Amino acid sequence: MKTIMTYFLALILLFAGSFAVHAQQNSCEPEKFRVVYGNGINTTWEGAILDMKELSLTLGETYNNQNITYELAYNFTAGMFLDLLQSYEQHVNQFRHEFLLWLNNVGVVPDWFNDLMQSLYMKAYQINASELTIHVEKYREAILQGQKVLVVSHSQGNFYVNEARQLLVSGQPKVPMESFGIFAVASPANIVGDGSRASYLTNHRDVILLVPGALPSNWTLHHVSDGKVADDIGRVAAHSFIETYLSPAYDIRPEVIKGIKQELSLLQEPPQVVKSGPVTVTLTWNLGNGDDVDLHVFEPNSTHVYYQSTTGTSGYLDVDNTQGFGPEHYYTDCNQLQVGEYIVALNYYGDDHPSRAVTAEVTISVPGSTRTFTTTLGNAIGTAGNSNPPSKIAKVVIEKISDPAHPNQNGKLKYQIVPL
Amino acid sequence: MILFIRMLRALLFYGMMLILSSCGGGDDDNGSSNSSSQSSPATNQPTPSTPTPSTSEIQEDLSTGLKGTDTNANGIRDDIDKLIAQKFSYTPEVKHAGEQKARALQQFMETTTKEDALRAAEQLMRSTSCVFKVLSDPVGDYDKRQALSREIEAWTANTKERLSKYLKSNELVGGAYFTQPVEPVCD
Repeated sequence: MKTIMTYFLALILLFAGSFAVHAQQNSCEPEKFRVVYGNGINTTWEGAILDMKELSLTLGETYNNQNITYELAYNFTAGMFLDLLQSYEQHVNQFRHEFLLWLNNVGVVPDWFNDLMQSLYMKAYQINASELTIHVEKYREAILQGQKVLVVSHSQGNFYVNEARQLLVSGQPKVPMESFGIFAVASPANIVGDGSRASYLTNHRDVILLVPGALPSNWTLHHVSDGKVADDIGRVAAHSFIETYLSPAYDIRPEVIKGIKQELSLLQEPPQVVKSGPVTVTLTWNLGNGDDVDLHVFEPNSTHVYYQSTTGTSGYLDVDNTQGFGPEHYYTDCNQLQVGEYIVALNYYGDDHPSRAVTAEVTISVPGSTRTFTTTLGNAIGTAGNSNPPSKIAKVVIEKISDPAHPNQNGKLKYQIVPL
Repeated sequence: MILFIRMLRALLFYGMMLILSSCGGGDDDNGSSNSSSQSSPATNQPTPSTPTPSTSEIQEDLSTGLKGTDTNANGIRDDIDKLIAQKFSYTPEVKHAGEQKARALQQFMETTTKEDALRAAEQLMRSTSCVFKVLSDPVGDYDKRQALSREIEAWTANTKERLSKYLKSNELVGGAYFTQPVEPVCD
């Protein structure tokens, strides 16, 4: 009898424990770490997602008992594709599916293709600075939300993140840079971030070493199968993030993880300036000295949230800035979320100078999607823009899914950000 | 006493059922698709690649146009349907994930505006998350995940016309920033 009661009590306790975990998983709080992957040259969107997902599976969901969220800052470079395509057409009778496989070092890659890739890697790299705007705004937003951000960058992604770091330092609003880190893989750059730490990994066979000024190799690559030095691997293959750096076939994989974890351990937790929820909207702008842009959100039941009315039915304006640069911030509460349309708009309220044109950035994030909008506002109009702010940016549409073709989705929420 | 034992047995039975359902790694509105994936610790010992059937007998669709031949109108070109059936059907779930991937790649290739490309890219992210969900062993399924993604991508953009359009779609999402999709990630 005593044994039966003991088992029964154990069952109750087990059940109670699992219910508490499930509730915790539905928390509105953001994860403490944000690991962002910055892809290399010649990487399609599909390839970049694959890299990021493989990284997340290898590194895991937590570090030091704190959850990690994984995101992707994508950059695209067309130049090398076009050069390779031109050469490919000269060598083959008919274009077939092998081209993309060879680009990713899959299958038997002809020597002429590899030689051309190798020569192209030695060309000067240029980044497309306009591709950095959104990345930098997202890094800033994450830190304002109290997250520690680590960018794991591969190949050309290192030029992007180095530049992004400079923009974070020089831009507004300021964020603590101790909360932002970089781990560089196969970098063609001569520096990581501001050069204060040599947090990088490049294996001795990597083609990137042929780029003038690239950081020197700091790992001798070995095969896991026999422990031998991998001098047989092609230089281009040795550059691949997944096929080499994260491959179980080589001994560099645990070093990548070790290096990333080391960088994670050095990140400082920033103060939480803005809160998080299913819908968040962050506004920043490029002028200070009393320049004031206001964020307005109209909730589905027409509640108007702005500086004069900061509490809505679903959300809150938790940060209002009247002195310049922002941020202004709106977020929805997890438990008060309404289905329907949330309209996001701006009013250029004031400027202590004769009114200057201001460039505003609005980042809207919902589960599974994020968009950043850039707009230029002309003259400040003060309270005249309060009831009907003239700059409509976007709407967030939240619907309950009802799809007979996919019944497992029924009742769940679908989020969409629609530009206006 | 007997009644008490019968009640206790029923309670034990239902208690066990409740525990099993609440621990089953169900859908998470906050979207990490890795939530139930790591059943064994990652090791660095590579496993031998699973031999895969040759695709030489599949007639590759090299026709003009982006869509190619899709006889059953399932959003997947016929030759890619055959590719998936032959090479990526380890389980029904993997086959289904491969088909979702193929559909998402085709749609991404066909987009013409930035906003459409961003939405299609988000669907591609979902499809990759689905692949990682059904092939979740970090080391044991590594080769399968790579092969599925790389080959379906390569077959989708398998003519100069398709590759050029595919690269344009990639260019449309250059500079974009992407978050993990929410569950469910598999269609």
